[in-house]
Amino acid sequence: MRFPSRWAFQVTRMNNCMNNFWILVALVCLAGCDQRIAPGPRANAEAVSAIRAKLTVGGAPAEGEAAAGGDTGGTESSGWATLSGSFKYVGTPPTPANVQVNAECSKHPVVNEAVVVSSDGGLANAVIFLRTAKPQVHADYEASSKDSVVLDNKHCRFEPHVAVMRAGQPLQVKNSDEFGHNTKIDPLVNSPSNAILPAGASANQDFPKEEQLPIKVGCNIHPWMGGWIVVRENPYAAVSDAQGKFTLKNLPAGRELEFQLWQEKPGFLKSVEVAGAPVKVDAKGALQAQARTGQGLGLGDLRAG
Amino acid sequence: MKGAKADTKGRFKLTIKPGTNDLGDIKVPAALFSK
Repeated sequence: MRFPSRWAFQVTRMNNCMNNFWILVALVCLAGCDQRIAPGPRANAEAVSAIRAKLTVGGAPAEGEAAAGGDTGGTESSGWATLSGSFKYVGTPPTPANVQVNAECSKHPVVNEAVVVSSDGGLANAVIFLRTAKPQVHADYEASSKDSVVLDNKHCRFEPHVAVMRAGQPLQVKNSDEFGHNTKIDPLVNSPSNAILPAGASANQDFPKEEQLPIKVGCNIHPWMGGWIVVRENPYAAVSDAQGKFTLKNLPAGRELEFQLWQEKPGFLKSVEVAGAPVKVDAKGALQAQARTGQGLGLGDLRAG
Repeated sequence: MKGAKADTKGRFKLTIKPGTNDLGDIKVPAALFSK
């Protein structure tokens, strides 16, 4: 009977293999039980955050290397971005009108600052700010979150004419003139104030809450003096400079953000036209556009009206 | 898309991407200041 004997031989061989296998397993276990696994290198939390931030932007250069701080506000960003632009006055700009001032203010010419336009049409003192609630805020802003913002009574005008600050930052109202001023601030949400400031004096005011509208500032002693304070809950607000230019740094990229435009004369800029751009209008009339990285949005001109 | 308009309060929405994004010129007509 050849078949059974061969079969028996194969079974015996198989059993031997199995025995060898279990012996090997036992040896491995014995050897392994005596060994202690040395602890591997511990992850550096900061390095991990930095790497995650880099990976999040998909290889594109991020604005700064710090990870996000603050409230994530639901939708995560995919990196950081700078948004820049320029307000342009279309039409014949007004000639800055000299303001009639009293004797103590006559050392320096004072002009009406309601509409200030540069020689090339740049509109100064226009504001762009982020309306999106609780955006992710870049960590770089944390360091300046409690810094004082200075509003100076200087040469019978307010410097800056439009101040931008975050809720929680203290406002230092100064008087650099050689005579007295008062600074009347009438917020809608925060506490009003009317500091009497002798020459060289200063006073502080807190704005713990965001204001939906820019706050008017005035001086009753010198009634032509006027200024504005923009108080936002996030750091993403900017005032156009003398050439009409503005920059918002380290915005959360990759998510839809809503912005608003304001200038003291017309108030909120009622409508915006975008020429030659990949822009669509949603049901509420808000513009939506996909930005391109690097070379700019390519939105062309935004026409505000 | 020419002639697109934002709402009556100067609000507009953007999705910006990492890096530099330039809005270009925001053109404000003189008529707006005569009101």
